[in-house]
Amino acid sequence: MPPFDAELYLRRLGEHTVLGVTDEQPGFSSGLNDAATALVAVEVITLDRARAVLADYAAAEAARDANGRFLMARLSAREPAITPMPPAVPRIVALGDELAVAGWSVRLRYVALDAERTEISAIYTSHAGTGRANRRLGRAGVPGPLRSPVVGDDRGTTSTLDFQGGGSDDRWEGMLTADQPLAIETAWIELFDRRIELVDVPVEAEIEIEPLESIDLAHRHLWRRVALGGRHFTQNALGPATAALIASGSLAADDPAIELAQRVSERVPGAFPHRGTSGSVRNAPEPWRSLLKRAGRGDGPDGLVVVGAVTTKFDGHFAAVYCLESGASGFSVEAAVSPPDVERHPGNLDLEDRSLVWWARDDRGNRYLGQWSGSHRHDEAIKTGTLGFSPALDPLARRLDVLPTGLTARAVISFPLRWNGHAA
Amino acid sequence: MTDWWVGIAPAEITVPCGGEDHRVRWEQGRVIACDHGDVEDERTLATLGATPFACIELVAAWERRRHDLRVLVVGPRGGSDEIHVDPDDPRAGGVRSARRRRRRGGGGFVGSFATSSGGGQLVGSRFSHSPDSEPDDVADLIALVGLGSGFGERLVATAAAEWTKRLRDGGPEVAEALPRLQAALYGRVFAALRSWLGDPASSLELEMTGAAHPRSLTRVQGAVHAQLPFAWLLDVWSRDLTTVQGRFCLDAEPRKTADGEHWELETVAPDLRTTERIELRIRPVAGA
Repeated sequence: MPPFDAELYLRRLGEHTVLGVTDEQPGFSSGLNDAATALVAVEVITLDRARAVLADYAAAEAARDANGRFLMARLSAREPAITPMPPAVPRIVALGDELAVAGWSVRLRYVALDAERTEISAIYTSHAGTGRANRRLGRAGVPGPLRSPVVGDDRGTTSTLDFQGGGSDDRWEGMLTADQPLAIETAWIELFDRRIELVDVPVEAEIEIEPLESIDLAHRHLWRRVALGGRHFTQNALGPATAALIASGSLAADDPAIELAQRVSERVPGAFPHRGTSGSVRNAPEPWRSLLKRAGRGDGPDGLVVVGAVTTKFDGHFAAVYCLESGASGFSVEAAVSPPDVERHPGNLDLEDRSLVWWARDDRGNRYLGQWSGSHRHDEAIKTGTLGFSPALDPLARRLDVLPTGLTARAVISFPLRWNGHAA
Repeated sequence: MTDWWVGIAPAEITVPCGGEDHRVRWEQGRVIACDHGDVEDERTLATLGATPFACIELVAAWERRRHDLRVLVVGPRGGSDEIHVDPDDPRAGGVRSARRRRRRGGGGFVGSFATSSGGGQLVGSRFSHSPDSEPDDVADLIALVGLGSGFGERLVATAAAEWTKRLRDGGPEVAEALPRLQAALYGRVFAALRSWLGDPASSLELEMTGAAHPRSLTRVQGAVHAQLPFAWLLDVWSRDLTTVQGRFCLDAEPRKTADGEHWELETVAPDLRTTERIELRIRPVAGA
């Protein structure tokens, strides 16, 4: 048998995409991307060579399909070499105030202030309750008084806020961003004709950097794929990566990890596409076993914890955790990372597989897995946004470690769960 | 040795150029701006007058791509593979009404995609003299393979001819090019097979052999196993001879005779066991 030729393998996959042999959505080539990423990860093809193959087939798709043009534009845009930068930690103050405004209940969750920006996290709930739940992004459906309120501080600065978020006709959740920043040290803010005192609580986070246990490249890649989420528009999320690893000889075709990873991926809480299955998987390794143990639970506590911690450099990254908010079915973490993680959307490409996997663990042995669910701001070097974690936080947990995990090391951002404010 | 373009029928498109409809013709391996004089002279004139001629730019863009391996990746595969150029997309290279005729799934023969005129139309060429960015470069390429009237197939044939020669002669660039060449062959053999066998689920194992190696198409444990040289692209695919009389064509040898072109085709039947030779003859119509 001739030696494995990774470039030829990818090019044959590319031919299948052009000819419509695969079940991929035309133009996104996600199977080809996954295979290329897997082969780069196990070091049987260089990054440049893999990128050249993808660029070739993006051009081929661009000649056949509008989505291909979208992909080609992404591949053509040379990614700048990003120097990791530590994210700034703003002053974050938990609010927990609940106001009545124009027939709506306004719950203010927290305010974040730094030299460049003032942001207030808010949830609007209609008293009328239309029951319509058409999700949308932006602010078109947000009632006028809540869309652009004015905020002031103790130095006399006033600023207009702009709401950006998502929701339904009777519930909106998002971020109010000031058109000019308020004073960082302000003792209060005024919003909706109410003065809200800003009471700081001491940050108690501890940060450590830990090297990861050595694991062979193929298994590491396989489980990272499970953790980072399935591909859109397909039910066989791991198929192309697994097939490439087997073809390259990096993984035995009968390796039990293949089936195990597939079964775990179908049960990861919060994964997309959702398959409606949950529960444990026999023989699942840790941390997956502990993750699946609480899948489907809806007993998470309501509340907010201000964290405000930024790591030193680990595995080529800086990471920051600003605050955590918990609800019945899961919890979210406002966080930042540099270089930016790549979100798993069609057409997005993380050929270098450099995105962090955001694990968390509590003091009761439970594990949680986070996925990016949107960015508040995203500059070239730093991504700031919300990580949605599943399953629901154990109500008996008293301490949480957020574990942004790279290829060779992870950070441990550990903090007590001292709740501020409560959900409506 | 027979010229590589023998058996590939001439093709023509019209191009709006300088306020008129001009003809651009592919013939004997070259693209010719029929309504212009010498290309270099015209380009010099265009540079002086700052008004590029669409025909001349198209010819120049074509010449730049003769050796471009990406032509084999982006260009048509045949069968059901179709190129779409969005007339509203700025990357479309200014091609507005270009339409690529769908090639026949089986029984094709020389000239089946030889629309003689008017099949494609180019409005306001944006073929750059020398694209200085990757997107522009790719947009140029896409515009060329999407010209319609069989021009895309002929550009693939042109690149295939160039690389068939380089494979034969050897050279430092050949080793690097091999995966692209093998994939180019694989995709077009596969497209032809799927169309011929009517089985979109069929799988293909292709061994790209040397030019002198016997050519074969067999079934091994449910998969079709092909042993074909890269030159098959030129000998067979470029001439639209992939399937003839319900048979898959492995090889096509042209001979010039006094009364026209004579072809000997080595074919295999759909049972993938029976090999047969088919003889074809092309003769000019008397008095035409």
